[in-house]
Amino acid sequence: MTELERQLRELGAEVAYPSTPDIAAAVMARVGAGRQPLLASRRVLALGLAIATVAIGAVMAVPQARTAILDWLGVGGVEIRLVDELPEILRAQRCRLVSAPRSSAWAGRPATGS
Amino acid sequence: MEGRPHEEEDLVERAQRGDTRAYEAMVERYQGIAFRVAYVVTGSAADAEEAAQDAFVKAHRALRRFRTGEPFRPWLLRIVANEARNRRRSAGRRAALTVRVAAEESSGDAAPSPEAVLLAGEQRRALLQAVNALRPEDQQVIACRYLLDLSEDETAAALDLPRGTVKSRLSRALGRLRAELEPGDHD
Repeated sequence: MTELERQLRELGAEVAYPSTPDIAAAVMARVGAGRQPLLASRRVLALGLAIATVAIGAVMAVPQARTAILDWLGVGGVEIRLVDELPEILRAQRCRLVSAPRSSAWAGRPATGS
Repeated sequence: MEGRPHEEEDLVERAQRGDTRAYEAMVERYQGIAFRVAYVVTGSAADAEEAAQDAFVKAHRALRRFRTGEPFRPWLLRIVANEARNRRRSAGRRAALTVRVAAEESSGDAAPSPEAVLLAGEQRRALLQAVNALRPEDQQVIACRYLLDLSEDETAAALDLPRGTVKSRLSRALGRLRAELEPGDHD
């Protein structure tokens, strides 16, 4: 280190900088302010999810309510009943879906393309 | 400051995990040097305070990207100096190193004679006057390296220069300072 460098280092201790303001307090207020909304929103979200879970659980525990909701959503269960005769509405639907009976000769004829 | 690497590493790791008290301890530890570096760059106490504050907030946001084990101070001082440079540019002012010799003279172990105190004070004032007469780039590199006693790496980070450029700029600045101090070159 040269004499000039030594003098400059000594001078550094004698320089009167403005006194350092309390930067830490201001920084921590800003850092804390930035974190609070995130924490608060997470808590609100968790509370909302808990309430929704309890409410849905309570409603689904009642069979009539559960059936109504599942039917409304279109995911209701299928009930199988054995009957001697199809109800009128189902018979009409089957007639629309199934054509008239055909012979095996008709079924084995070459395709005409039409 | 540099003799506490483990403590610093511990604080950094805790702060990275979200411990705000650890980060507060880091801000308290480095706010003095951060403010002075910002002051050297901006030449304004108000701008330096804002720059240091913003730098600490940005450093907190970027803390997860900081590699543990690396020295924290140069990383922080780079952010501080960037903030300070942005303020200097936006304010459209040239950086002015407005340092002054403290009113109180330093006291040694043995009480020096009044003449010796006067002479030492005059020498420091003359040296400071010569520093203030340099170009802003020279003032800044001398202020960071010698007056603030930053390492070469920290000076390079603060001035956003490669380490080699810091060395060459320091060498040239010292040469100009010697020329300023030579009798006959100034009244």
